[in-house]
Amino acid sequence: MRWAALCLLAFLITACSTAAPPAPITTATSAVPSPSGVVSGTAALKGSSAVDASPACVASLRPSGPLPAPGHMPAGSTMAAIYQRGYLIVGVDQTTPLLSYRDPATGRVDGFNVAIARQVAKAIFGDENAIKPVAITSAQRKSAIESHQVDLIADPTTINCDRLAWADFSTDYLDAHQRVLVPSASKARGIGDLGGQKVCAAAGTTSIQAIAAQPSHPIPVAVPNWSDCLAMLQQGQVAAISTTDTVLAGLATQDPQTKIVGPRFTFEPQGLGMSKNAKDLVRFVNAVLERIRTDGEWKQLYARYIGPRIQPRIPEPPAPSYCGASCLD
Amino acid sequence: MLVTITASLLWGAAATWTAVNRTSAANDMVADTGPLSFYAQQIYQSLADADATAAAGFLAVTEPPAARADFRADIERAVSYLRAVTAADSTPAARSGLMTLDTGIPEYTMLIGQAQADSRDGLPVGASYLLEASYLMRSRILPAAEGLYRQENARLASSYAQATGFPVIAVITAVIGAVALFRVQRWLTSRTQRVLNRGLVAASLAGVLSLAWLLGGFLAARTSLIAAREDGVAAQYLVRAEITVLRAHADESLTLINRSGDDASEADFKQAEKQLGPGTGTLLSAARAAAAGRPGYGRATAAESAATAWYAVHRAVRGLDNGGGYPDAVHLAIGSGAVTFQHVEADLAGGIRAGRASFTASASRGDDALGGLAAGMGIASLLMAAGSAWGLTRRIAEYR
Repeated sequence: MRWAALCLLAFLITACSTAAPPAPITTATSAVPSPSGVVSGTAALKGSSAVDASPACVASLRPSGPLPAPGHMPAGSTMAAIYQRGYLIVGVDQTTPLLSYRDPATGRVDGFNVAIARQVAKAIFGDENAIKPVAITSAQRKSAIESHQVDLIADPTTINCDRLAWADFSTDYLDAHQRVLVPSASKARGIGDLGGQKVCAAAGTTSIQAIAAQPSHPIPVAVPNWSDCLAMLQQGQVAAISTTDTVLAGLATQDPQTKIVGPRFTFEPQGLGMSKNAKDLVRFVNAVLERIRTDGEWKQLYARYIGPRIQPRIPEPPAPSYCGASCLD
Repeated sequence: MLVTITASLLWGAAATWTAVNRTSAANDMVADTGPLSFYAQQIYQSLADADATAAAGFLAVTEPPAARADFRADIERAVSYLRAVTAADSTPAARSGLMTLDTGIPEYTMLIGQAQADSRDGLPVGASYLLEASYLMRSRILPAAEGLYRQENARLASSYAQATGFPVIAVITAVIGAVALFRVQRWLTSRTQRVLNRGLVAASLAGVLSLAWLLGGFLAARTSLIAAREDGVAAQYLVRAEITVLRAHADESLTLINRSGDDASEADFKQAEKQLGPGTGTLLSAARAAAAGRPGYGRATAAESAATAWYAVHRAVRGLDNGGGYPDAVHLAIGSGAVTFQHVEADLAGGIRAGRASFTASASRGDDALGGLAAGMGIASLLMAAGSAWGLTRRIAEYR
């Protein structure tokens, strides 16, 4: 009887103190934020062109003799018009360290490519600072040249047969090769290990085409700027970035926790792009390149801006290739 | 006798219900839906301001301390009001928006922090983080804040409709009650040769007075609540204009930060400018029209001309940047560009503040006009019932 009463009491106490368990918490799985303008898969290839640096396309116009003295451009030439204006308008990228970037500390656009463009300004004006840099994206290079918004393009640009439809290029001023940038901890040893994984490049470049064309079938991811690729790599949204070693080296300077790996799988000669209606300017620029190859200026600039980041020793400048009678004006 | 007592009580019930219903709706405008729509507005504004402030602060190579303080204040304000809305609004409609804001804001501040850290190290990748943060804000966080703001405004509008709806049921019941009292008195007069029955007269008087009070209180409240509503509508236009102005300012900075020559943000600026006006059918002009005769009118008018001045500076900024004068463009944007922008912002914010103060005052006045109405209606109906019972029992007693 007593036990029964105690049991009843115990039951009543527990019944009263039994609170309902809290409802299970459902964790929202919202999409991971990503930069705007990210496109992946076949849509990423829009506006891009394949790497095709066949010798016929790389060959440029031979200089028409020695350089005129600064300030004494041939009458009626494109250079004379530029001299009249007072500055050379150069299309630049502001986000690729080493080659073409805006130094946040000084506000000045600088880099190896820009330094080459400054040599052109120096030949026209006698002043390497007589340039106006205008920022353009990789995808805007074509329209910037066609609309004469710029005199020449110093964005990292691969000389390529497709692009000859809208631009003429200088001779090769920097040899680049496509490779892969991965986080230091990554096990991938090259593009071959990245099958089925997301690999980033800027939209409208030869790099994005080359990624899609790999036999290992990586998933190409296109973004507006090269640094968007780095931001995505740091956030684990892409497994790797793949483009020329020159651009990758610039990205790697921003993040010591990355490494460039794998074999070179493209050959991409870099050229300054100009309007197809300015053959005299192309010849003039080639004469400037001819001079800096021979007087040691090229090696000095390479040592200053790129140094040992791509290969341990400062390379020889790439040999120019000129076309014969087939492409005379 | 039963007829008159029932009629009295019926009137009492209808009048009290009407009074309670209108009072609680007016009360909501002052104490619930009104404040909640203000809280949601604060969340929406603060987050839009954070987006513009972070972008402008990033443009200066070293972020000015004032910009950092503004950014912190924006985030703190958004989070505080977010907590208040979460505590007060448990409707399922609000839940997903609140969840998006709860998870999105920390994610956003994390990206901004990364952008600033990289920028201090001189790394171009910082700009990518800032653009990503802004994209997160615009594609996910601000739409959620806007949705919440719209929902709270809809709730406020329904409180307003309820508080100002014409009391049809009460009026019908009043007519029925009056007919009943009149017929009973006529019947009594024919039966007893007495012209007036004091109890019934007292009951009728109480009925008339209570009806007058109900309608008078209701109409007085209605006038104030309509004024409050007008302030609210004008403020909504001003808020939309302010948020669009903030979006455009962020666009200007983003175009410069992007540094790639990408013109998507500039295209968005042009679109925002078109929406803002001034001009027919634009936000700024609609806000001025809605504020006509209201306290926010002066500031709304000033905002129109301030915006025009700001667009001119913006065009100068674009001209410099497109012409290769990037450092000069940045200098202009964070210098006199920022000053002219602040004029627009201050006018809109001032208009919103004036409208808000006037809304609160009007809504409180409306709520006060309904004070004691429910209790009054109950007491009056009891008096009516007692009066008619007293009057009739005396007549009935005479027949014994």
